[in-house]
Amino acid sequence: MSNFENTAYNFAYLDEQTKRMIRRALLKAVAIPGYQVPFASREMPMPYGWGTGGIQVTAAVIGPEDVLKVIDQGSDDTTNAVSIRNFFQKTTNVETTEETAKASLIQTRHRIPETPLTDGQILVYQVPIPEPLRFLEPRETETRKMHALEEYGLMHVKLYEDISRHGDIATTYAYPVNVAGRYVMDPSPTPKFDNPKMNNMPALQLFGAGREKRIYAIPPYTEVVSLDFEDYPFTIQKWEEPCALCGETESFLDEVILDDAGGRMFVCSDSHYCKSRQEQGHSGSQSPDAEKASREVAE
Amino acid sequence: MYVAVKGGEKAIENAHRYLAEERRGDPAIEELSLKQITEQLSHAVSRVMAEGSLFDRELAALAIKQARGDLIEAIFLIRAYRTTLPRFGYSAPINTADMALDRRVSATFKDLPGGQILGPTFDYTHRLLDFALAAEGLEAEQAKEAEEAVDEDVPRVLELLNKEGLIEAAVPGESDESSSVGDLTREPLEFPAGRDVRLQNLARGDEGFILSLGYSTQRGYARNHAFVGEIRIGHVAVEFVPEELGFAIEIGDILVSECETVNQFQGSKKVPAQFTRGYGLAFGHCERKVIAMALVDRALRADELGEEKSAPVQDEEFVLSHSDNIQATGFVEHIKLPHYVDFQSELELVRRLRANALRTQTTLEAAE
Amino acid sequence: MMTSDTVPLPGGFENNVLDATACFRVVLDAMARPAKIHSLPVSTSPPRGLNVGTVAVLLTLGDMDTPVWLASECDTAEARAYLRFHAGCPILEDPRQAVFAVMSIERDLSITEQLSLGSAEYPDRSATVILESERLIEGEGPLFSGPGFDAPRRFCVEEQPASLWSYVSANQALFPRGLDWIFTSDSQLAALPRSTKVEV
Repeated sequence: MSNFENTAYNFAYLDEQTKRMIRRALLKAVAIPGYQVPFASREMPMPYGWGTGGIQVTAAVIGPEDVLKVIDQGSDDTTNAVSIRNFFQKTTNVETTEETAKASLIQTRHRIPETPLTDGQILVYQVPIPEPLRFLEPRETETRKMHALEEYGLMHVKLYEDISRHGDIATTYAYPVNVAGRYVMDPSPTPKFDNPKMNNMPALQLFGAGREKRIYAIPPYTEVVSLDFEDYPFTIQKWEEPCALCGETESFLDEVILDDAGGRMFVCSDSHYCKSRQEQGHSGSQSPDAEKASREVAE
Repeated sequence: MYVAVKGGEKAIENAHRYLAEERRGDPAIEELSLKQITEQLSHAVSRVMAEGSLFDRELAALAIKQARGDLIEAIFLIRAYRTTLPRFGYSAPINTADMALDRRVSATFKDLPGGQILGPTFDYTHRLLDFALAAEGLEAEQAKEAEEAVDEDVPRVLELLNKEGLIEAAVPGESDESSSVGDLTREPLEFPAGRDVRLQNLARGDEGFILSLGYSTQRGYARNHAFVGEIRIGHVAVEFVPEELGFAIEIGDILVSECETVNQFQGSKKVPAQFTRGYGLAFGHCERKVIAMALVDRALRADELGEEKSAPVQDEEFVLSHSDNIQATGFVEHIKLPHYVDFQSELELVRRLRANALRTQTTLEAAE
Repeated sequence: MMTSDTVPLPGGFENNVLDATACFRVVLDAMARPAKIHSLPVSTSPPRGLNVGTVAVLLTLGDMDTPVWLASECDTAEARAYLRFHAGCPILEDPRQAVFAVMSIERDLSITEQLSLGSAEYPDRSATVILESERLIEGEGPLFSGPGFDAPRRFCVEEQPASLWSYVSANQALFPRGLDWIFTSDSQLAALPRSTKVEV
């Protein structure tokens, strides 16, 4: 927003009273892993659905010593990630980075970085619909009761219906997890590929849903289990080919359409991870090195 | 060789410049002044003040100008600004019985103390495009001043009914009078919400949404035939009690629109038949909004009055969760943001399910 | 200053915004890594009745929306005036509505039974207990585990009453309802959220 440059706002934009309210909610969220704490979400100078929850959480947490990384779809360079990073640069003047390992605070939409996070880092998720039961029961009054009674049968019924209809669980992102053996939680629309990373993660995970006015958290080293069945265990996505730029076979890949004749390639969704692998000398079918190499062979 | 898409930052900057240029339009055409907007687009200003929850004509005009006339965008600008303002305290409740009236009509009585005051209304205009307005520089016709001043004492219509006990007493909300009034800008919405919070939600709610819900009750989805007991539009004083003074001082006046409806009520096991009320109030001149609001308010009282709930408009959680156009526009529009990762997950699944199905089919055919 | 008597009040944070942010990060980390001792990032001078850690927590998290209850050993005119002036906290006579309850570790902790535990539907609406002590000790005392522990840890405080761990343990059994405990001294801070299990 352009009026930032000419108006004096508080450090990290939010007023101190709002920060206190969010901070109190964050502490309760950490104390009750996976439980959604209602909070008086404020109207932010960006639209609901663009990460206002994550932004409020980051604003309440960030300090001048932090090094901030912002990603959307795994990438530091998508327009919304750029816009949020600029917002915090302008309002806090903190150092920003694209390097996962260098960041003390990472705000994300839809991905967990491929580089394992470490003790002392904080990962802030932007959440659109925090309620994992919402698609089964639209009423807050009902889902709140279900959480209170630990009544999660409906969720298992839904997953099982998938299996009987499709032969497989048809949930591929926002795949529900159980946190610390108590609350069923929505991991935000991350692909289920990322679910195993949440389990026993050394970093603190904070979740902010601005429009729905909820905050929740997973403390470090907390058990996070993806819901499944004994005969249909949880599995993650796999690709038949490696990343076309860095040759990685273990990362989440984005599909890129190359032409209108069915030409496509797969590249890492985590742009920084891919770039640093390439810098380390890894290559794939579409990387400049590979082309050079194939030319050399031909000669 | 493939090069990943880069340059989000540049693209954003350029988009902002392009937007500024488009907002201004042809520079040969004179720029809009805020005064022009407050004076000549006053209904737009009213709507932005009402749904933006901030009574400030100048800021509303600025927001309308900046948003290129997109009123939801303008409301958003005002809301985002409003949350940054410090709170000094809460005003005393305004008293619409003491309103300096621009307009006051009742549909329930032909004549009544204080009379009917039409005021500046579109109601009886014939909706014919006035091509004379297309020519600039014409002097507008001046309205003739009334021979008699508006009565000092204009009693509220519903109070006249109340004297006979035909209508329920105005209720301050489910919470008792001593407890404080809720504020959904400071506390997350919770269900069941009190009538105070419901009314606040409706007053800030999208005019189109409230209008359609009100309409649905008239067409039979939770039909509850309503009469407009009274519509009042005019200025009321805002009073504030500074702690150090201990008594109320007037800090200004605001233009508000108010509608009270008289609704049928068959009575229930608990309450004998009597008329009931619906209430609408909002900043500015926005009659359509407050009439619709009163209809919706009345419909949302189903639980309190022991009525059967059968329609969306009676469903508090449904109505209150979806009335805010800033929340709605944000979430509806956010699906244009990148969703590569979720989509890739779905692609992978659909491809796999189709491959499985094909394999099963081939095996079956081979077996036959 | 607006004290009821003439005792001058000690000052609050030097830098309201940055000190509160630094203190919050310490409390957040303490809650996320229970039974680990953190050094306080500020050294404000507290009013009589409260220690530095308690003051750091209340200046960071307290305001007009967080009623505070002070146990008799902490409840001085100076402490009341300090919290009202610097944080704007209402001070309660009745502990049941308290968002924060402040007490010395040496006292009879049965008063915590009166604090709000939250409800099954809103377990977050519970009190946080701030327990003041001379010194927090890592590596000794009972073994703690649960969310936030890569491995079980030992933790205790000086002069703790024998009943402390049975209160903590009984509270954990109520999960997800329950109290969250913050331990403070003049230079340290640690926390035990309700999710932490204790082996006495």
